[in-house]
Amino acid sequence: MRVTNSLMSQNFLRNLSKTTNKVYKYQEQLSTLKEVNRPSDDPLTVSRILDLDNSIAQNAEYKKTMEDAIDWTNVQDSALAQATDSMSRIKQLIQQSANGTYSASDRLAAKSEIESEIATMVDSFNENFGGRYVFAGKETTTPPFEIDRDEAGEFIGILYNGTTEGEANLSREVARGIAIDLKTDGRQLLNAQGEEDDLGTFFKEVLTALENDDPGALSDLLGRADQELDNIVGMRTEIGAIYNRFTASKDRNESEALNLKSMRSNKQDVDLAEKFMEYQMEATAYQASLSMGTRILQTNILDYL
Amino acid sequence: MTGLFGTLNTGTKGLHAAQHGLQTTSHNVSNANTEGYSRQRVTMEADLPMTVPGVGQLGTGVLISSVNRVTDNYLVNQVQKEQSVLTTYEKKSEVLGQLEAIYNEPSETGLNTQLGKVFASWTNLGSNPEMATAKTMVMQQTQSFTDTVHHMATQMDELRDETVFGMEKQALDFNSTIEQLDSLNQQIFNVSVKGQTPNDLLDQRDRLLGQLNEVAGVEKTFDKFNRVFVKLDEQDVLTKNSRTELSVVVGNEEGGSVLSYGDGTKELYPNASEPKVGTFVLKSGEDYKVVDIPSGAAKGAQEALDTLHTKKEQLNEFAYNFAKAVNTIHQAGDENNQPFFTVGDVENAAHTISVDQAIQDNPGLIAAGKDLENISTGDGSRAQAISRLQNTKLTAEFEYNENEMKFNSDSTGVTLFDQYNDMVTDMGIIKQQSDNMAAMQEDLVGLLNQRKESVSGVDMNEEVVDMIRFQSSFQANSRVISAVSEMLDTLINRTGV
Repeated sequence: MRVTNSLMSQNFLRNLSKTTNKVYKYQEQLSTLKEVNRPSDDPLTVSRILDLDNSIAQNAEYKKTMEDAIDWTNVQDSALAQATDSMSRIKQLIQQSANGTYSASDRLAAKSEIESEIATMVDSFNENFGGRYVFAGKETTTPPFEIDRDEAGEFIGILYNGTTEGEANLSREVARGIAIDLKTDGRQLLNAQGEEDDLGTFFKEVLTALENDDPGALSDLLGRADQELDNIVGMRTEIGAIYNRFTASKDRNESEALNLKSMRSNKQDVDLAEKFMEYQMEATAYQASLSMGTRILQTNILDYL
Repeated sequence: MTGLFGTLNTGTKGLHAAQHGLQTTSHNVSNANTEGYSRQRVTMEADLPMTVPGVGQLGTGVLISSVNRVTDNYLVNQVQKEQSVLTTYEKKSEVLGQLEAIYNEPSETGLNTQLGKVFASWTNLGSNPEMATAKTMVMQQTQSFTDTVHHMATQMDELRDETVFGMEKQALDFNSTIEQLDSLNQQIFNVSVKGQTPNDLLDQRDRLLGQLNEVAGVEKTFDKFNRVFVKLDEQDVLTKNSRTELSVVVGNEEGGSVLSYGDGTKELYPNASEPKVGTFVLKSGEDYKVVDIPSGAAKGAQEALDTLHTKKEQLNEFAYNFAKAVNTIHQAGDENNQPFFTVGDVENAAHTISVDQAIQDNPGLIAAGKDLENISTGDGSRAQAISRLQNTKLTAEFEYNENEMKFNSDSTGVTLFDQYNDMVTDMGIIKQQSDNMAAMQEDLVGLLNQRKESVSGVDMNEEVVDMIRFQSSFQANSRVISAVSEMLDTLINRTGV
C-alpha cells in the first residue's frame, strides 16, 4: 500500500480520537464514581437503577411509617400501664370495702379515692401522641373518653366520643401490600357487655354500693372487677403483639434496605481500583500514541536534503 | 530531418517536459492539504519517430500527452455512500443525546425521584392525616413534580423546533450544492468537449457530491462528458437542463402543510395529503413530490424527530394517566367531587397537568380519608390508597372500585414508574444503537478513506523525489542544447575558415 503523509496524519488523528474518547469515558466514570451516567451508557442497567431507586425511596417511607407506628404503640402501652395500675387500685379498694369490718365512713373514703382513680384512668385512656388521641378510632383530634355526670355532679358513666361505626382501627402500610392495624378502637376498653352495661356502668354500680354502704353488693362486683382488669391487660397484650409485628417488620425493612442499596451499588458504583487500572492503561496508550505520532509525522525527506 | 537543429528541438521538448513535470509537482505540493484534491501526474510518451533510410527509426524526443488525476472512482463512490450512512447515525445520536439530557436520568433530580417524592408525601399524609403540613407537603411535592414535567415537555418542543430548523438548513444546503453542481457541469462540459480532462473541476465535483451525500444520500450517473446527474428517491434532481428544489415540511396549518426552503421562502403544500413535519418534498415547476431520504443527516434528523415525537406522546400519556388515576381516587370515582389535578386532553397533558387551583389555594381540601362528607380527622386511608398507586398495574380501562379504593389491576397493566422507566430505557436503547452504528460506520469510512488517500493523496517524499528528477532532467536537456550549440559553433565559426 502506498502510504502518504495525509494518510498517516489522518490515521493518527483517528486513532488518537478513539483513545481520547476512551480516556474521557474513564475519566467521567472516575470523577462521578458512577458506572453509568446516562441511559445510553447501558439502558438495561439504568432501567434497573431507576427501579432500585424507587424501591429504596419507598422502603425508606415505609420505615418512617413504622417508626411512627412503633412510637404510637409505645404511647398506648404506657397509657394502658397506668390504666392497669388504676384498675388494680380500684379492685383492691373494692376488695377492702367488701370486708364487713369496714365502716361506712371508710367506704365513703374509698368511694372518693375510686372516683379519683376513675378520673386518672380516663385521663390515661385519653393519652395523645403528638396531638393525636391514641384510642379514638379515626377521630384522632377529639378526646375520646369523657366522664358522664348527672346534674348533681355524680358519676353516672363513661362516654366514648371516638369512632363508633365501621372500621375504627388505623391501618399502616409497612411493605408492598402488607398493612398492620394500629389498635385505636377505644370501645374495647369500655368492655361493653350489651346494652347499657360497660366499664362506666360497672363503676357506677361500685360507687352506688359504696354510697349505700352495701358490702354484699361489693363482694358481688369483685368478680366483675377482675374481668375489667383482664380486659385492659388483654388489650395491652394485643398492643404488645402489634408492637412486635411492627418491630419485626422494621427489622425486615432494614435488612431489605441494605440489600437494595448494595444491589444498586453493584449496578451503579465503579470499582475504584479496577477502573483506575483501566484508566491508567488507556492513559499510557494515549501518551504513547501522542509521542510516537508527533515524532513520526515530523520526519520527511526535506530533513535530509 | 535529422540534423543539429532537430536535436536542438528535441532538447527543447525535453526542457518543456521537465518544466511541465515540475509545474505539476509544484501544483501537487501546494494542494497537498486541499480537501478532495487528487494528485496529478504528467503522462509523457515518446514523440513520433522519423524514419531515416538506412538508419531506421530515429526518436524525436518527448511528448506530453496528458495531465491526469490519480483516482479510483469506485473508492470515491464508496466513501460518499458510507459517509452518508455515517452522518445519518451521527445526526441521530446528536439529537438523541440532547433528548437524553432532558430526561436527566439517573439522577437525584430526575422525574423518577420526583415521582417517588410525590408518592412518599401521600404515604406521609396517610400516616398523618391530621397534620395540615402533610397536606401542604403533598401539594408542594406535586407542584415541583408538575413543574419538572412542564419543563421536560417544553424542552422537548424546543428540541423538536431546533431539529426542524436544522432540517430547513439542510434543504438550503442541498439546494445550493445542486446549484453549484449545475454550473460545474457546464464548466466541465466546456473543457471535456475539447477533448481535455478538467482534473481540478472533477475533484471539485466529487467533493460537492460528497457534501450532497452527507445531507441526503443521492443516486448519481455520469455522462461521457463527465457531467453528473443526480436523483433522489428515483426523482430527478439535477439533469442536463433542469433542477428541482428540496424543501421540508415545517408545520401543519389549517390550509395544509407548510414547506420551507431554508432561505426564508415558505409556501403551502398544494397537494391534498398532509405530510407530517420533517417530510422532504421535491419541487420541479408546479410538480410537488414527497421523497424518502435513504441516508444522510436529513435522514438522521427525521429518525430522531420520530423518536422525539414518540417520547413526547409517551410523556403526555404518562402525565395524563397519573392525573387521571390520582383524580379518580381523590374524587372517589365521582367527577363532581373536588379533583386533585387539572389536566387537559391527553395530547397536551404534559403541558397542562397542574394541581387544581382550589387545592393550591387551600391544601386543606385534599381528601385524606375514605368518607368525603363526614371527615374523620385520623383517617388517612384515601391518601394511602393514592400512595399505593405506585405499585398498581394500571390497565387502559381504569376500572375503579371505590369500596376498596383501588383500580382493578392485572398483569397486562403497567405501573406509573414502569411507564416512565420504559420511556427512558427505550430512548436509551435507541441512542445506544445509533451510537454503536455510528462507531462501526466510522471505522468503515475511516478504512475507505485510508484506501482512497492511499491512491489519490499527495506524498511529500514522492513529490520531492519527482522534483529532483525533473530538475536533473531539465539540467541534462540544457546540457544537450549547449552541446548542440557548441557543435554549431564549431560548424559555423571554425569549419573551413
